Parts: sequence; C-alpha cells; structure tokens
Amino acid sequence: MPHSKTSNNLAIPELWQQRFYRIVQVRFVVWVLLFTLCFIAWNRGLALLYGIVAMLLATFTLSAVVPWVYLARVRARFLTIAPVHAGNDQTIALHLQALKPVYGITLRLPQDTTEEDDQPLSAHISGIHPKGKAAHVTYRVPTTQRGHTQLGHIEAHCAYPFGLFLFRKKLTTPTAERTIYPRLINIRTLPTRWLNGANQCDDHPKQQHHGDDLFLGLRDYRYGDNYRRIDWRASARSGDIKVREYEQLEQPSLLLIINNTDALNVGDGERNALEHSLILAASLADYALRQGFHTVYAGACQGRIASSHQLTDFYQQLAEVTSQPQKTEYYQQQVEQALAEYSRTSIAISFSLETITSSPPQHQKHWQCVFDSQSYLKPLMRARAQAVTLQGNQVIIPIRASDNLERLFNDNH
Amino acid sequence: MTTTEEADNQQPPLTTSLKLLCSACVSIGLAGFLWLHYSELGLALSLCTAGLMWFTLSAAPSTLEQRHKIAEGIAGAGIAVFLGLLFSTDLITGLMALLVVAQLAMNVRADHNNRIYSAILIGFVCLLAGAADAKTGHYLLFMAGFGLAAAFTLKTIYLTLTKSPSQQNVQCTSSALPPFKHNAQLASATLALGLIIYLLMPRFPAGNIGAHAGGSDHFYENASWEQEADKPPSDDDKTEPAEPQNNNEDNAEASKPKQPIADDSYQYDGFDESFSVQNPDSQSSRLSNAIVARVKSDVPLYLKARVFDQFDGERWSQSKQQLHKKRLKRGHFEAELSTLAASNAAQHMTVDYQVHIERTMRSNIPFAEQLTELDFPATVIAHDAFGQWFAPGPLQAGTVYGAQAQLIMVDGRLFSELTAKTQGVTAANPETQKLLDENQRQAQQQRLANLGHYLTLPANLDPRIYVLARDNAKIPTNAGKQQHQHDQHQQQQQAIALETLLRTQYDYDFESIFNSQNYTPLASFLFETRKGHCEYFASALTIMLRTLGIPARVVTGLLAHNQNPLTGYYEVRALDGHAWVEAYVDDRGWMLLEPTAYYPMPTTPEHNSGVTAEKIQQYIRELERIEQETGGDQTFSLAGMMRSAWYSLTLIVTVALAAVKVVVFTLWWLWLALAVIAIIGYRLWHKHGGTVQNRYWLYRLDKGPALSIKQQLHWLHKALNNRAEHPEPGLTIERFTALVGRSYLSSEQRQQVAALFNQYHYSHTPLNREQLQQLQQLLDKLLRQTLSAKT
Repeated sequence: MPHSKTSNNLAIPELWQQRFYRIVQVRFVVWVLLFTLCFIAWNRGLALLYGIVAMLLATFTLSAVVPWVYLARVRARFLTIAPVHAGNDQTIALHLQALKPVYGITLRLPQDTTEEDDQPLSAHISGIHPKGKAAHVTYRVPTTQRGHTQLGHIEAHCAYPFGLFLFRKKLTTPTAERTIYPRLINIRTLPTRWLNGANQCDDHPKQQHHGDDLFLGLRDYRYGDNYRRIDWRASARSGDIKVREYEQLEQPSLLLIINNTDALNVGDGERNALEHSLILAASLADYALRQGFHTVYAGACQGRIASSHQLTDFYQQLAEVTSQPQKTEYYQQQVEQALAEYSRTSIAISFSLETITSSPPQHQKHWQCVFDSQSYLKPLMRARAQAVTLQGNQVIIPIRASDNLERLFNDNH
Repeated sequence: MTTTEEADNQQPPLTTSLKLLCSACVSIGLAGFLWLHYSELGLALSLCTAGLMWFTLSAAPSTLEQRHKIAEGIAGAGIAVFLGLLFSTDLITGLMALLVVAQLAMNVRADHNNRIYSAILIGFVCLLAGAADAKTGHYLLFMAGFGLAAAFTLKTIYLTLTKSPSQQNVQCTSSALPPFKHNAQLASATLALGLIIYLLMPRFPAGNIGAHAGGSDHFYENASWEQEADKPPSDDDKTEPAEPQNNNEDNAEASKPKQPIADDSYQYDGFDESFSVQNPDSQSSRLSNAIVARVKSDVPLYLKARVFDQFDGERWSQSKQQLHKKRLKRGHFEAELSTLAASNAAQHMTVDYQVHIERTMRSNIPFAEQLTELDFPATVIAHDAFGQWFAPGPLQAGTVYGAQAQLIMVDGRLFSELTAKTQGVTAANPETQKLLDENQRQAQQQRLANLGHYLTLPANLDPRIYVLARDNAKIPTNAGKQQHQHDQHQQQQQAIALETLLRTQYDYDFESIFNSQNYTPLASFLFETRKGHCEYFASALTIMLRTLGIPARVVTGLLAHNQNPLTGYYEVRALDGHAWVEAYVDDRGWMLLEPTAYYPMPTTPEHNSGVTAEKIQQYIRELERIEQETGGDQTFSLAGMMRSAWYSLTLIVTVALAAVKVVVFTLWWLWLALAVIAIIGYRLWHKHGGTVQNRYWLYRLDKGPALSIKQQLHWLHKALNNRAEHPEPGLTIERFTALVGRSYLSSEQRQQVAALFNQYHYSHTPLNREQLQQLQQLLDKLLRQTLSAKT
C-alpha cells in the first residue's frame, strides 16, 4: 500500500491541523473575502464586484437575523427525569415546540449537567414544524457522582441558514428536578469476621414466617431478591414479577450514622471521603433490604428503611446531602446519641476520619469506617494498607481513597 | 489503512442536493468567466463541467488506492490541459482550467467536506476572474446565481453534515428538513436583500493604488516612426504652415487604416470622413448607437482626438502638418508637469483613467487635457503642433490604454491649457506707466499674432454673423486703469455669453448628421434652421468668437459622460463622438466651451458619490433620452424589459430613501418627542395602568347591566391581573376566595361563596333565586372591593 504509507509520512502534524482549522473557519474566510472584494472594487473601480459584495452582505445579514428569530420561537420543557444511581446513564428528555417553523437548531445541555472533561451533549435538530409532531430530544447523560440539581434552562445554538454566525441563547424552561443517587457497590456477603457476635447477623439471614411480619405491599422484583418472596399470583395478574414486602419485626437491623460534616469532605470529585461514605451507606442499606434487615439511619438525615419506597427516599436524601460547616465533635455527639437511641440495632456503622470513642451495648457491633484523609488529599501518595481491627464490639475499618470498596465490604473467604 | 478503518473515517455520503449545488457553484462561476470569452460555447463548456462535477462526486471507487489512481490520472490530464491552453490562449484561461480539473481530482480522492468548500472557492475565483474583464451588467446574473448556489451549499452542509461528536448519545424525533417552499422563500429573501443592499451601496472614487492599464489585445509598432524618433531634432521638425488641405486628405498617411473598415466599425472622427453610424440591419432605428469605447474614470471626461483651425465657409481643416515622434519606454510617456496652474490661481484635479477601444478608430489617441502620463501599448507615438496624439496605426478594437490627466479649473470652467500670466507692474509716474501699458499691449498683440491661424475667417462669411456675435457678446463699455485684466475677464465673459446663446436659442437635431455630413452651412444654421448637431454649434461658436477677435478652435473627440453604474465604465456611444470649442483667454489659456445644449456643461467635474440606485436611474434616463430623440427602437425587447425592471426597482429604493431622509433628518425632533412621550407614557401606564383600568371597569359596573356569575368571576380575574396579582390556575373556589377575599369578606361569607358556587357550578341541583342573588351579591361585593382597592 504505497499510497497509505506515503500519506502517513506526509501527514501534517495534528497540532498544525488544529491551528489551521482554528483560523480557517468559514465565517473568517467569508469576512476576509468580503474585505478583499470591497478593497478591489474600490481600488480598481470594478463596480461589478459590488454585486458579489451585496450578495455577501445579504448572506451575512440573513445569517445574523434568522438565528435570532428562530431562537426566539422555540419553547422547551424538560420531561420528568428519572433518578439513577451514579455510574449509570441518565435519560434527560426535552419537549420542544415552536409557533412557527424552526430549522437548524442545536440544543446543548448546560455544562454543569455533564462532567467537566466530557464533551457537552448536543442535539442537532433539522427542523421543528408547528403543525407536525412535537419534537423530542433525548439525551443519555453518563453520571459519575451523586447529586441533586434543578434544570431551569438549556443552551440553544443556531447558525441557520448558512452556518456563518453561531448564535447562543439560554432557553428558560420550567424547572425540572434532576437527582443522581449515590453509586451502588454490590455487597453480596458482609465479611463474617466483622459480624462475629452481632445479633443474628453472623449467619445468612433466616427466612421468617411471614405470619409474624407486617405485610407492607407488593413491589417490582429487583436483582438479589429472594425467589421465595415472589407473589406468583400477583405476577401473573400484572405481567411483571412482583415481590411481597414485609416489615420484619424481629429481624437484625443496621444503624447508619450519616456524616456530613465539612471535615469529611476531603478529596476531589469521586475520590472524596464524604462521597465514599454515602456510597457505602447506600450500598449497605440496599444490601440490608435485600437480606430482609431493617435499616435505621441517623445523623445528617433520619429515617427507617423497611421497604423499597423507603430505600428510594433514603437514596433521595443521600443525593441531597451537602457538607455542613460543623465540627468533628458534633458528629461524635450524633454517633453517641444514635447508639443510645437505637441500642437494639445489631450493627451501627459510622463514617469519620478518626476513630470515635464509643461504648456500644454488648449485643451491638460498632463498625467505624475511618477514612484516611491523607490518601484523599494526596491521591498519588502510596500509603500503607492498614488491616481491619476488631476491639471488643468495635470494628475499625480503615479506608483509603484507592481502596476497592466492593472488595473491602464483601466476604472474600 | 484497512477497509474498516476507512469506513469509520468516512463522512456520510453527499446528498443529491449537495452534489447538485456543489456542481452548480463551480459551473456557474466558470460560466461567468467562459461566457465573456467564448459566449455560447463557454456556456456549453460550463454545462459539461457541471456534468463532470456530478460524475466525480457520485463516483465511489471501493478502495483508497483506486481513488488515488483515478485522481492522479485526472490531475495529469489537468496539467496537459493547462499547458495546451497556456500556449493556445492565455495564462488566466489555463489557470482556470487547472483549478477546475484539480477540483475534479479532489472530488474523487477525498471524501470529506473540504472538497465542497474548495468547490465554492474555485467557483468564486472563476467568477472573480470573469468580473475583472466583464464590461456588461449582465454579469450580475452570474454573480446572483453563484451567490445563491454557494449560500445554499453552505446551508445544506450546515443542516446535513454538521454533527456533534456526542451525537450517538442523543436521539431526536424530529428530523424534518426545510420544504421546497421554505427554500424558495429563503432564496427570494437572499436575492431581494442583496438587491436592496446593492442599490443602497454608495460608490466612492477609485483608489487606483498600484493600478496600471493592461490587458490590451493589440500592440502597435512602426519601424519608420521609430527611426524618426531616434533621429536628432532637425530644422525640418519645425512647425510649418501647410496649405489648407481638403478634408479627404489625411494628415498622416501612415495612420490611415489599410484595410476597409467593417460595417459595424465606428468611423466618426469629425469633418473629414462621413458618419457610418447608420445601421442597415435595423429598420426601426436609423442609428446604431453602439458603444465605441469604454472609459474607466471617476469623473466625466472630454477626450480630445483632433483639433481644427481653418474654416473655408463649409469645411474645417488643419493648417499645420508635422508629426513629432516619441519613443515610449515600456509603453510609458510622461509629460512635463506644468507649473502654471499655481500662478493662475487655478484648481487642478488629477484623474486616472483607462480607455478600452471597442470599435476600430482612426489613429488619433483620444485623451483628456491636460495629459500628464500615458501608458499606450506601442513602441512609439507621435504628436503635432495642435497637441494631437497619434498611434502608429488605426486603433483596433480591444486596445486598452491608460492615462493620467490634470483637469484645470479656473472660475469654475475647464481649461485645456494654461499660458504664462503677465505680471502687472505699476510705475512711479504716469508717463512710465503709459510706456509699460504700451509694452504690455504690444506683447499681447504679439501673442495674438502667434495665434493668428486661430483668428482667420472665411472670405465669404455672412456679415450677419458679425452682427449676431457683437449683439450677443458683452461689448466693453469703459476703459480704465485695469484695462488688461478687464480685457481678459471680458474675453471670457464674451465667450461664455455666446456659448449661452447657442445653448439656449438653438436646438439639437439628429437630421443634420445624415443630411449635412462633412458640410457646415453656418449662415443657414444660425439664421434659418436654428437647429443642427454638435459640429454646427462648435463651428458657429468658433467663428463668432473669431469675429470678436478671440482665438478659437474646434476640437473633436469622444465625450465620456454616461457612466454605467453596473460596470463602473463610462460608455462612449457613437453619438458621443462630439465636437466642441476651445477659446483662448489671454493671460489664462485655452478654455473649454460646450455650445451644444444636448450635452452637459463642462463645469467643475465632481465625483457623484450617490447611492447605486440614483446612478442607475440617471443612466437609464440618459439612455431613454437618446432613444427618444433619435426615434430609436420602441418595440418590445428583453433588454428594454430589464431596463424597465431596473428603473422601477431603483425608483422604489430612491423614493424610500428620500422618505427615510425626510423622516430622519427633517422630522427627527418629532420622533424624539414621540419617543420621550412613549417612554413616559409606558412608565406611567406600567405604574398606574392597572388602577385606571379597574376604575374604568368599576364605572362600567355601575353604569352597565348586571353581570352574570361567570362574568363576575371573569372580571374578578381581570381586576386581579391589573393589580399584578396572578392567582395560579386550577385553584378551587375555596382557595380562590381564601386568597382573594381574605381582605374583603368575612370567613363566613367566604365559606358561603364557596358553598354556593360549588352548588351552582358542580351540583345538579340548581340554586334558587335567593341563593343566586346571594351569590351574585357576594361576588359583586368582592368584585367592587377588588376594583376599588389601590394597586
């Protein structure tokens, strides 16, 4: 293939190509042509050139006016955005209407919707007809971090008809809520060593007689649900697999003490101790519900999880958590209060940068997730891994920024 | 690179419309260029190019290697075509062909959008190359066509080929492309806007930076002239009076065309050859008022070709016959710049111009006085004692030359030549003064004696002409100290007075061009017919001036006064072959006089920098005037229709412009006042408008009929809106009354309203009269309270 070899050897470096295309854009070229033509027409007295100058000016004028008119015609509205867990693609749908026909519009999600490194998502719409079917644009936005935002506008670009001038406008839309739940890690079995002594948590959960429990309702089947809970009759009626939910009155339970103090908010982006703590809290709650445990949460938010609806509420609250300017002692107090208040829970899990001195009851285990702040502040620094230590009822779980949480919180033996 | 990789890197295939537009860009641009050089054949060639463009854009060889081989083949053929055209035609044609073939090769080789942009650029370059040579307004059609094709190509690229890198994560349900109607509207809007901008565009005088006359199709050489030019000046070169010759004998044998002049050639050069402007092909028009030359200049020009000094009562001739040859260095001649302008308190204006000869002419080079530089495509040129310039042979169609002239204006009149000014000397005593005056008078007489041949009169001159000249010229009535200056002023006034006489009292007539060609019946013109063409007027003025003792001469040449604003060239037509007069004003120079009223006065030339629309109107009016006066072609024609269309358009634009001028410049104070009132009114209305409206409704409520319950609620909404309270839609009556009636109704009344309204609106059981009245009263109370409350 001599041609391909030659072309590769003679290829212009990409840097120069980028510089070239940065300068040689259609609108710049047309501007240069316009000024050159005007100069020649004037200098040489070539009156005919005024004809092409007039055509160029007409093109410019239309390029400047039409996008402005078109962008004023468009009305946009976000459809309800379904929450997802971080790491999954979220679908953001946009409903577009125009009183008069509109062509050649690009709609770009606001920059804060997508990650900084990613290209902003933009949809090029050839045309919207007022009499035709309403236009819908669906963006699949990759998510990396939990959060709760409100979408109140979208960036609209238009360079119709000739692509010479790009007009930008923020189209105000009715506010739409956008929620991204914390990322979930798949906890299959908690490390047995940590559970040792915890009330009924050391073994695989026993399936209780449903007669003793409080029937809460039916819900859709989710991955990890016990097959025995499937209500086959209801599934047959509805066409979807339905699972019976019970509030198990005498089941082991978890206590999650959510920490949102500023002290925990170390690290950037996803490698953040607060984010990791919330990921763990969400994943443990999910695990607990799948295993039939109760979960009680306290600290930054309070509540109880005995059903999938309550779990969703919990996720929602976690998504909305923001760090508060409170001192570490405040969290310690919260832990102490929670341990005292929910003394019957089997495992109490706290999240902090330092070990908390506590005295849980005999039947209760206190797992302390201790985040190594140095590893979060200096991600490139290699820190020595520290083993999980068990001191009486206390389980101290040191966590570094680079740790694989899924491996850490699963029983690998 | 594997096929899969190629497929990944490939752009989406071009749509049919894009291929069509891309082909149109190149072919229209090329058609403009080829049409100028090869007319119909050129258009056919551009159509073939469009076909080739389509074919190469549609061709889809499977592999990259195949594409490269085909492209190399096309490129090789392109070089062969370029070389062929370079040696057979000219460089520009060869380059255009090379560009087009390069585009064809690129179409095959590349599959990215750059080939579309290059097609637009190449079409544009071809169009520009044509525009540089085009001298007709029809070229604007190619420009409009290309402009539309290029604009729609850009539009199609924008709509179909603009994809964002993240497009795979986005789905759109709407992908409707603009329908044909929209495209037609867009094209019309672009054209209409382009036309309006074009008509409103101002025209400025040309910069002429680095400009030079080039592109002449002919180059003139004459070996014998060159030898004469190289000889040292001898006594033979002295100007010698020659025997007055008959008009049919040419003054320069060498300059006579050797071959017979074609029927459509332009043969008018005044007085010694007959007009050949009769058009035998057209029955409706006797005149073929064809364009004989085009002049690119910023101001109208009198292009002098020949000068006559002797008149035998019927015909003009020249008394001196001696040519002085001058060698040209690279075709350039530079005259010595006169410094007399400053001493004469004259204004001068330097004008660069180019003359494109369209019909074969005599060897006289038409030029504007006062010539300072001449770029002529010849090795040698000649001039004579009258200041005429000659080319070595007849001027062939396609000859292009450039020149620079210094237009001299004294007291608002054009002078072709200035003379040295006599310095006034004042003596200490009257006797010396008398001697000085006598010397000056003698010097003046000497000067006039040197110009004797410009004062000779025919022997058989009608004595009535003396009387006519004396009666109509301002005769001096007093003689004082400033006699000399007075004489000079008086001569100018007399010349202008006689010029005015001829311009106002005599009519222009085309008949005499055919009836008395080569023959000037002066007495008959002045006293009987009182109408004639420019030669009659020029002859009459010259002779009348000579009867008053003012040296004068007849000048023939071309008059460039009607500029075609579409091309920027002054179009010199057959009827612009003209004769005028130069009169000698003592102590000043030769003043240009225009005795023919048909032609504009040679006043101070000014560049008309109006908008294009006004210039087009002026041009069309001039053309129509010529047609009407010559009884020209009155039948329907496409050109006539286009001219009418142009005129209508320009009329609309100029009227609109005049209206805008009146509105903006004359009534600006009214608009300002209205704007201030509008702003104040808006602010007041914004602040108090709601209250005023509510008051008005309260008045209507008092005076008008009773409202129904629905009307009351409707009014209530309006009243709330006027108070800038906008209750959200979908409120229940309970919440509505709770929000609205909290200030005006008690809680019992609010509950009562809600209950009654619910029963009225939702229940099957209708309200009885009392309940209805009660509800109405309550709502009425609520409405009145709301309306009367302050905002």
